[in-house]
Amino acid sequence: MFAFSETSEKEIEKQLVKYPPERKKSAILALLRIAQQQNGYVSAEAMEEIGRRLDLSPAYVESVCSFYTMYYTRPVGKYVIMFCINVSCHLLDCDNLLEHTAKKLNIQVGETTADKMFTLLREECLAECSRAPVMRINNDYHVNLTPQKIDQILDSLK
Amino acid sequence: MSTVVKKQVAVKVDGKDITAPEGTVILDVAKRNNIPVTNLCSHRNLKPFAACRTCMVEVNVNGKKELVYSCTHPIEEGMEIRTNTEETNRYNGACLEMLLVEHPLDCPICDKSGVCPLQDNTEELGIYNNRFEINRRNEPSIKSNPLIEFYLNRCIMCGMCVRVCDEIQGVQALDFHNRGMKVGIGTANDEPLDCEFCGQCITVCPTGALMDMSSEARGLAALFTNNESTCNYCSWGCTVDIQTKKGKATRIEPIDDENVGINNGNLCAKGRFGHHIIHNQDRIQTPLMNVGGSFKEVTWDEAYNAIAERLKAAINRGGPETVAGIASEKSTNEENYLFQKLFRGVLGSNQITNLQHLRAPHVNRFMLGCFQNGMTSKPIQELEEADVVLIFNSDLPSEFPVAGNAIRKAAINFQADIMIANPRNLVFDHESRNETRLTFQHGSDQAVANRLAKILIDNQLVDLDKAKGAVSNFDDYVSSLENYNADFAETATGIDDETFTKAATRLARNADRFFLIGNDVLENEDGEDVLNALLNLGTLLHSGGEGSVNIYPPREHCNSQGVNDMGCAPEYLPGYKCAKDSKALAALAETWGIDALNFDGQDKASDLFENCKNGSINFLYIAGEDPLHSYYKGAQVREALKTTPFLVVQDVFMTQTCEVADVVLPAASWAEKDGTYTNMSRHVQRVKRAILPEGESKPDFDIFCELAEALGSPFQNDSLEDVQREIENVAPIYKGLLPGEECRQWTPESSSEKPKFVIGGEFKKMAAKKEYPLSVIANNHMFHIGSYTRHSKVLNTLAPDCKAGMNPADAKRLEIKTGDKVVVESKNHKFELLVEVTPVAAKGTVHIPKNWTEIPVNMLRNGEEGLTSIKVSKAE
Amino acid sequence: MTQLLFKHINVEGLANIDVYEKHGGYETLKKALEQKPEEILETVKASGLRGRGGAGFPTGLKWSFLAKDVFPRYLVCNADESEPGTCKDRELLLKNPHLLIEGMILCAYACRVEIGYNYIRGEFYDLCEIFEKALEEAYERGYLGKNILRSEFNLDIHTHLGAGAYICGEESALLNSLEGMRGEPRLKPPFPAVEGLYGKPTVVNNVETLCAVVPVVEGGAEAYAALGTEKSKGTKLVSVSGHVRNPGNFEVVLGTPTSEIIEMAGGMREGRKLKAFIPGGSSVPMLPAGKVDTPYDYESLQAAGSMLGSGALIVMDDSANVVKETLRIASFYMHESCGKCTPCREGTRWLHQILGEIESGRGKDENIELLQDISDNMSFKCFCPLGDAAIAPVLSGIANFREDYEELLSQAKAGAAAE
Repeated sequence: MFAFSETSEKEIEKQLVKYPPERKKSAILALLRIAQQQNGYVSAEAMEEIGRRLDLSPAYVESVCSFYTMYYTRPVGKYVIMFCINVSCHLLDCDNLLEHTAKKLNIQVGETTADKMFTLLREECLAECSRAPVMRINNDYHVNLTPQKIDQILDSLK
Repeated sequence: MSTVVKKQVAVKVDGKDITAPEGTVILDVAKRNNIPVTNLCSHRNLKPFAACRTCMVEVNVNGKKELVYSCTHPIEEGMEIRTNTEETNRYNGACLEMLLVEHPLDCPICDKSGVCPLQDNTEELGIYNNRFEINRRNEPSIKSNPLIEFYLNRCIMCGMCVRVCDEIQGVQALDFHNRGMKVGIGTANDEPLDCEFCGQCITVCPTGALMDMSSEARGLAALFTNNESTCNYCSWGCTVDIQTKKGKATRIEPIDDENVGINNGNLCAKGRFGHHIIHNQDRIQTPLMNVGGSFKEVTWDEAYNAIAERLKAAINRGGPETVAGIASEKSTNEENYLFQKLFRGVLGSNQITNLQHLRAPHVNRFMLGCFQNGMTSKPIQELEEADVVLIFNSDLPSEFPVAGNAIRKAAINFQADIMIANPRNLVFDHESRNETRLTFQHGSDQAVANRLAKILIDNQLVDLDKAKGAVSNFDDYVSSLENYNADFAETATGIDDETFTKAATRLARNADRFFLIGNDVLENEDGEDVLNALLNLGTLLHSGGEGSVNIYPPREHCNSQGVNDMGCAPEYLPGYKCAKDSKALAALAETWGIDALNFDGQDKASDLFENCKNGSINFLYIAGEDPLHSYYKGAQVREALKTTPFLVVQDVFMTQTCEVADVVLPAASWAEKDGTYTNMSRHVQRVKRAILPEGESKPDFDIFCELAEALGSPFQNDSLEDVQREIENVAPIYKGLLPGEECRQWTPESSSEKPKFVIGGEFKKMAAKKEYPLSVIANNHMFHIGSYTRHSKVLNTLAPDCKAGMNPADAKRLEIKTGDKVVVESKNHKFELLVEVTPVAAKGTVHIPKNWTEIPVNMLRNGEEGLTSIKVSKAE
Repeated sequence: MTQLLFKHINVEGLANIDVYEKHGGYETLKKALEQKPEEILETVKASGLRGRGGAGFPTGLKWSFLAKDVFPRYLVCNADESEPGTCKDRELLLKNPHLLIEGMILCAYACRVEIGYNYIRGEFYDLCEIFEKALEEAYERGYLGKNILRSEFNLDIHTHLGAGAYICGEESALLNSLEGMRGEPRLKPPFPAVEGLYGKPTVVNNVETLCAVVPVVEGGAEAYAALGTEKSKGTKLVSVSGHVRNPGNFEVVLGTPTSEIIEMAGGMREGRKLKAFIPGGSSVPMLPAGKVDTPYDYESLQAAGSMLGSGALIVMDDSANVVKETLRIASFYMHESCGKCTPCREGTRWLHQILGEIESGRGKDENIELLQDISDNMSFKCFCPLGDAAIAPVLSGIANFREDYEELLSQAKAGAAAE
């Protein structure tokens, strides 16, 4: 069973007032985000609950959820590293930096470390191209990456 | 509104001059003129999607050439359109080429093979080579639900299943998953499909990615024989295609063509998946005779002779009016016509009725009243173009699922007003932003209709002078509504006046209004008053408002309308001629080649079962009904059938009523006979034999002819065609409509009487009794109608158990939860069943489907006045 | 150097309303509210300001297309910055959110809109918080809400976070996403100005466009139109990334030679020569070094065979291999295709697969023709412009840097012969 926490409920209330009442479907992205903030990922039960809140079928909620890349439907690590691999970062050797990061964490890209601390993902352009290479860890951007800088950041998070 | 006339635009398609309404897209223009344009994702019932990109055409406007997609590009004056040019074929073909890379090409075992646009388009564009690395998908089939198989390897992402499920069915059980190359279709969390099982997704799927698992034979559509007929379940009257292979009816599909029938290619779960009642082990195979308490198989001759003998004996003893017959709401017009002819013409008895008329003779009066007041109602296909739809006490998703499809189209195309007046909080999703819920207290239907009328008058929302001029007793009507002020109405119905006013205002606008009245209005004793209130409301809008009022009487079964049209009621001869009109009787006698039709004025049929009980009926012939289960006075019927000296029951299955008969005659199913049904909007439609009758069963038509012969008075006309001519003759409203191939609505004869409001019937607030604090709402389950469907394996899998729907508040009070077994008890009867706690159920009521013979809902009432009051407790 | 949007960009604490006001913030709004909405609209029209998100459609004209007398109507700010190479909106939002708010208010006033949404890409969670704080400040000062500065004009602005989908940068997909649907583009017409958000008339403008409205109104149409070229007025933020010494966002007067912009970014790296540049983000054709003097404006870049796009100048020096970079971009478009229409869903996938074969030394000579043919089958044939974006680097790469393709193909041949 999935239930929104009190904090989440407050946040939901804040989101719902943004849209005309008969258009509450607009809040679906926000509710998915809130569910994910609460539990780390969006479970099928959470989608069902969101559907109930917004008068949408579970199939519809899943359809929307699976369209966007920022929702995880399985548990992820405490820190999700989104490593930009798009062209501006690519020109500045992000491939090797990504490999460096994977090696440091001892996982493959797409995996989560055994201690559930880190999940490493490839990410398309994060819009910090003039400070490439870039990665985003949870909601924070890290720019002008070098192997040393990556090590430093990861160590600080342990 | 359908009355808005669009400007005509002239274009040339491949050199041919064509005119079409402004705004029409090129693809539709081409289709309507039989000019083939490849396409895979367009469907007339769905919003434009424009995803397959295989419908490109070339257009030239003012010498400027452009390549456009025909499914979304509207025509313009003077536009020259070319299809199948080198360029368009190349680009359309390029998309097909890519779609064919992964498609399995397992055509020999595909249900759509032969009717597959992917196949057709591939051939049309000559795609024989593929430049890409072929990588046929080969994932296992998903069979996690009992009816619809997902073989997604064949999916070409046209999205039609998803769109039909959402736009037309309002369910959203299927949707897209993921995006880009990973995009696919599926259910939430890949759980087994849980939906209304309308199967519309199967119809629209072009490639056989979704298939009907109920079908006994699979593959190659081309190897099936198509038999266009009319569904035998509800009174909506959908055209179906009974597909047969090797003499077996194996599956049912709609005919996906807007010009065929009234359903525009839509179908519901019952219509599509309920075909297992045709080839069924429970069918009665031979005539049976009750010998000392047990049934013995007899020959048809033995059965006929026994019946003829007993009939003659009964007539000799008590006169012709001691023999009576109940005609069937599920038999064809021709059969019902012959049945009443048998009674009136051969036996000389006018004691003939049908179960709807027996219970609610006011339905026919209501219909005739609508005609008298000028409301003859448009063909029901035009519901798709409605501006306002009032769904009055109809559990529409269960009662007329296909009506829901049409309404949703009106919602999309016209933002139609959808007004749902019902005690229950029905689930009815659609895309209209104009919905009004008139959720009224159980039993207050009449007050709802009258309050709406009063607001129309008080707020002068209609032209009162015009109404007064048109309808003679307008002032009486106005004063009869005196009491229905806001407070009174709110107390009676529970609906606040703002809601009423909003609804009344929307009703009053210049609009095509459609009133769909559910059979639920007949459930309580006040059915006549409710119908009159609705008749008056319609009349007020019709006479004082702009636009149209289209109002249809509640009819339950496939031929509930036709059985009355054919005169299977003591008051009416065929075509609603008065049964006491000597001129009409004389004309009928002449047609039938008999001396005279003289009935002695006795009326036993109007209270038939009571008259059986008191011994004034000596012989009862029930031709295709199961009153013991379905009639609302269960105990009375039981007593009546026990008392009646001789009972003949003719049916497809061994019903409870058959069990107490003296002679049981095996009737052929609807798939095994020819004739016509008339639906609730008076469309006369053909029923076509698809297979030979099972066992020794015979169509009712043949049985009646042979029985007449056994009685020594054979019918002069005993072929279907001749009987149809005879019907057209004696019932001129049917003139030119038979054999029903054209699906046309009969038009009432113009009435000489002036329009009038039908006044009377003071509103009485009905309340449940103290000791029995809840009331019952009983109607057909979404997956069942009557009791036949309970013989369908497939429909039983969808709905195996009868469940009582209870409101969460009531359930909480009684400490009952979903899945509990409860005892439902009225003054008259009690039984146990499972509970489903659902917000759909109205507070203070219990919803019980009436299709389970083991849960005899009708026994609870047993003729009691007002609401059927019950109490509910947890079973031990 | 004329700096309009970036005038105060490096002022410490500019995101705070006090600092913003100290540097003249909201003064333009105060003056504008004394004019009629139509006057503001006329000013924007006359200024020649064009949409800065990518399409370059004249902003004032777009506003004037709003269906007459249909209310409510909406303003939606497109802060879904996701065109690879583009990072200017991020800097504006990060450092100067009040400029955007002021621009949105001006636009709403001119267009008689009372509800605005800022659709911020999901990854900009940090910016959303900054923007929401700025909104709060603006409400407190009476720049937002009911009866703004006693003008009887009302406006509410809400944020709406996306959730990771490039296609939502396309305005109709953005509107679907805002309505709570999959971010698939809509059929056009109707355009958003007629039927936009919730079926109502809607203005959708990019962050930079709305920010630019402030200096346009502040300095007047004439002053703005005096900057730039005939068809490209005013200034443009250019995000310079890739192989330059000091990548960054630069505000330049339209018409500045591209080479000068590269110089602003510190020029090429030590010992390296310019090989290619993409002037307007990954969806526009890449150009060879020989065209580096092309004036950076809409018409000149178009004449040179490319587009100004979102103003993302991606620079590649001679260490880069065009096929490898094109493959990277192709992989991006395959990932971002919504999957609805056949040519885009299947086309992006085959472009990626075939480029991958060439890049990994498994290509065949006929692959180049196949790439061109797939591109032709996508060009203007997809449901939305994503398909056209996806083919731009492929076709321009083959046209301008065929040697990179041929080198890999001959390697493949040599490899095959050796086996």
